[in-house]
Amino acid sequence: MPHKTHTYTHRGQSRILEAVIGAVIIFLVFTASYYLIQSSSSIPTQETADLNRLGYNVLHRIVESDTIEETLETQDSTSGAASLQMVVREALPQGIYFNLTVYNCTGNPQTPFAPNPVSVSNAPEAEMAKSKEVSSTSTTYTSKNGNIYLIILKTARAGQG
Amino acid sequence: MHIYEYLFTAIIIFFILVASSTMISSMPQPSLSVSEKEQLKVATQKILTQLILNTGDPPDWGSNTALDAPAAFGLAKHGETTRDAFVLDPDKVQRLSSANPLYVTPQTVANLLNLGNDYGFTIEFRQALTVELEQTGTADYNIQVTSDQNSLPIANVNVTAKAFYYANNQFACTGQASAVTSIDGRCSISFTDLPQQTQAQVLLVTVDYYGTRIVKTAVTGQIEQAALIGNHIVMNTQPNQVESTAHQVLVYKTATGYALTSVTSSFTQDSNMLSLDYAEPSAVATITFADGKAILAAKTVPQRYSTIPGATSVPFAYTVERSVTINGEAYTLQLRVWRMSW
Repeated sequence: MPHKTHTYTHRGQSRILEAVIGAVIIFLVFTASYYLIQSSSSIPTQETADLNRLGYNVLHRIVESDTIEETLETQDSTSGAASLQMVVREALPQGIYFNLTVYNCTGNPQTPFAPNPVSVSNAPEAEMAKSKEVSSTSTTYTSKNGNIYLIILKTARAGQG
Repeated sequence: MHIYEYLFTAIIIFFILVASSTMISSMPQPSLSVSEKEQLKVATQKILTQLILNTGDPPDWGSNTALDAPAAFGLAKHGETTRDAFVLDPDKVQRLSSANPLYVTPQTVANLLNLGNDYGFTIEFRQALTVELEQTGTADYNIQVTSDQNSLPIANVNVTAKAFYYANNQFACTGQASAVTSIDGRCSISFTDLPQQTQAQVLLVTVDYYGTRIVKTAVTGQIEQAALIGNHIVMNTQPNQVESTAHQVLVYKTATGYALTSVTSSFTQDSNMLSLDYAEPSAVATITFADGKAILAAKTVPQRYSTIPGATSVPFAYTVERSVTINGEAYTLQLRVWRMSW
């Protein structure tokens, strides 16, 4: 009899242990699922898509309104870049960081990344690099004077770094 | 198995069920919330694309005075051969102005965009630069150009101006004057050939900031404002005696800057509507003379168009902005969309 009682006690304890382990496993599965669903938000993808559309809209405005001719081609490089920065800043909504780089690849379109490009930005140092999402849009533009430019506009939402 | 073992197992199973049901009910909430916000963003982007890249149906619905509303809504300018992106038709845009006799209500637009009562929206048109005109003398004006975002003055803006006026019932204009804004965003313009006494005068100012163009008008004297829809001048009342011709004021770019000039056109009158034989594409205004006063007909761009008139901000709205061109002028179009219920 004492041996039987001892066996029943062991069986009972093992069932309790099974139930506890089962509960812990179920709890862990639910917790893991909960956090996985939360972190799989599609916001970042949509944000980049928005910035891409905005970037192409601003590039379109820059090239359609002869801004390149009136800034980089008629002024010296310093004042031309300052004017270009002002135009881009006015074209973008507030709260957007930008970095616009203009490569003059006239006569050498096969290697468009010519040295010493004109680059203007409104972002503090390294702020673009810290941003979670940076959109990059580009266009090739031939000015009325026959110069060929590769224009790359990078945009990011401020306060994401 | 003792009774306390059964009891203990039952309690554990009970807690598992309670914990599971709590987690299951709370789990879809974040994803549901994200999904609704994403849905609003996608809806806003689709509406914006429809507004600025679609011409609507019929494509010339803005200038067609026989139409109260289009069959499909879109503000893009229609071209027979080519079509520019982000260029809006001024005739379609001015249909959103409540001052326009052919005003299209926001509810009609919401229905045409198939939004029904699910979404509300606001469209705002802001000129890319803020231009203020101040008359300091009979023929002297101060012009200030500031940023539309932070009101900071903008230097090196090319300003071109010309005054069109009626004196002794005759239409005439001054010579073209030019200036460049200084570091405080200001400049002055004077016309030496403007008569001291005029019946009515219209000052036309074009500002150009490295390709960004804005046109402003200032009027003095006996002037009645009218709507210019397509090639029709629509007046508030039927005039008795109208000048036989109208003067279309044109602004166009030249190799050295902008040219402001006028061309004379004939028209036919039908009640309070004058139909011009031909409307110049680069015309920004049309001036004629009726019953002792000048009639200035221009295409007006509304500042704000909303399904909730007067509301300045709406919580949980999604906003997008785009640069657009209306009649050669640079505007920022801001679209704000919100769900009527969450």
